[in-house]
Amino acid sequence: MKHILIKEKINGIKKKELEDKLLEFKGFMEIKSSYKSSEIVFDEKEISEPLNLIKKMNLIVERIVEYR
Amino acid sequence: MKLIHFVDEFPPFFRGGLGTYAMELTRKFIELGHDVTVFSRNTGDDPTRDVWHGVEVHRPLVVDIVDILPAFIPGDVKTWPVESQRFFGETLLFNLLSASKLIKHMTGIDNRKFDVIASHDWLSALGGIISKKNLNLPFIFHFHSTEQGRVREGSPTVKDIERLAGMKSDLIVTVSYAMRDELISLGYPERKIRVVYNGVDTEKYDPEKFRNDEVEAFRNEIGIADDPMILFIGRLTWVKGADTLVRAMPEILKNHPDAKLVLLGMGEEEHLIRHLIKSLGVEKNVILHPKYVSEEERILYYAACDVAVFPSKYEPFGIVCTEAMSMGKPVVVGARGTSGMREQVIPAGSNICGFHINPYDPSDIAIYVSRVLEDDGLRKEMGKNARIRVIENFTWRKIAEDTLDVYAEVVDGGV
Repeated sequence: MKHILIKEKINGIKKKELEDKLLEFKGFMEIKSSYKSSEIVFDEKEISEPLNLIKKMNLIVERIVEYR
Repeated sequence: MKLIHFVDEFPPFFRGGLGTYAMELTRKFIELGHDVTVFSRNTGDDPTRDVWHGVEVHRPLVVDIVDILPAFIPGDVKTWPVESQRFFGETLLFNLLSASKLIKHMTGIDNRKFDVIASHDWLSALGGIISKKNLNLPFIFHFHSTEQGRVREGSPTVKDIERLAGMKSDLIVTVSYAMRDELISLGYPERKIRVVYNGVDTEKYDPEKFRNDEVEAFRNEIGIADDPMILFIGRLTWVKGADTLVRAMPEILKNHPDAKLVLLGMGEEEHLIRHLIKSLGVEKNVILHPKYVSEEERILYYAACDVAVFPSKYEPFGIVCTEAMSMGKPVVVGARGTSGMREQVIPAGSNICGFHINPYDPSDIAIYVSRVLEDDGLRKEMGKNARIRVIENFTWRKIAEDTLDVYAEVVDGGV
């Protein structure tokens, strides 16, 4: 599992739009929103393509955590 | 100095605390005028070459070699679950490919010169051992924990890799005197071991950075409001002791019925902890946040709490404790066996900054958490002392300078 940590809370329409785009990528599971940040969860090791998309959307990636 | 570091985790890719350590330490090395080249695991299709805050990073691409492993891997690895064997195979490849690139390409073809090779834990030990042999350079092995400590019985193969690295290294760096004692008890030569603590960024982890209304808003958001807040941050595993802390709650609630325990972390014990919360009837007083949050948000958890509790049963250093102390919070920490937190936290006298507890005993945890919660003056004094202690002893700059002093010992030929 890979968790992409975003330095902002993603919710509402933005969350829905991002979810729709990420569904095109293998292994996408969910976007979890917290108080000031969000995590995008993938059940997939190779995530460079969705990562590029996330960066193009001007979302700041703080870290990518691999959870075993 | 020109430094080579083999380290399993490096930003932006993390798995545990080692990534934070590598990030902060190498950043300080650069600030202090040194060159740092890092070889780190490629976690999938990460960039194979990168520059991160002045650190040159190489991540060789690896492939799945699990099908060929049984032909040559040691006995106990063959009994691991397939996913773990795959991880072992990737670890082998990461080390072999990294060492090969360093030896044949960077120093052989590009004629680059380096002064010191350092490896961190067994996951990157082999790259360091191979590079030392081929380049005839000093090799430092950093022990952040041991297989024996992490998983008690543990894997004989992993223990062998650790032992090989310890023996082949010119010096061993470890993170606390408790770890030094553990290594000596395991037969590592005392004369080779140096202790350098981990650290914290005291500017990021600064209580003055948060306004009261900001902290209040966060406390309201997570359901604390004006109630006493006990905080645990860490993996939900037996060794970290979140379950024992939950078991302490009924006793804490006898004296502080409004107290709320917030657990921030994920791990294999999540279901057990959910079950415990229900069976102990503390649903209204334990808030479980099994998720990853940004560092800024994590710091807000520290800012919001009244006491931070880390009842670890094995903790070579314990960066979460240092972070809480840097945020001016009193800490209650596990102090049995290998505990670096025991060295961080002064439990008595004029510099008191927290309490030491038996991490196997919920009653002991309850007694000392209650003592902190019931005395506003003591809580404030502990928090103030904790912040001072961190600024004096555990800044990344000091840690980087102390580490460089150890490297200088081997570069100068003193060892």
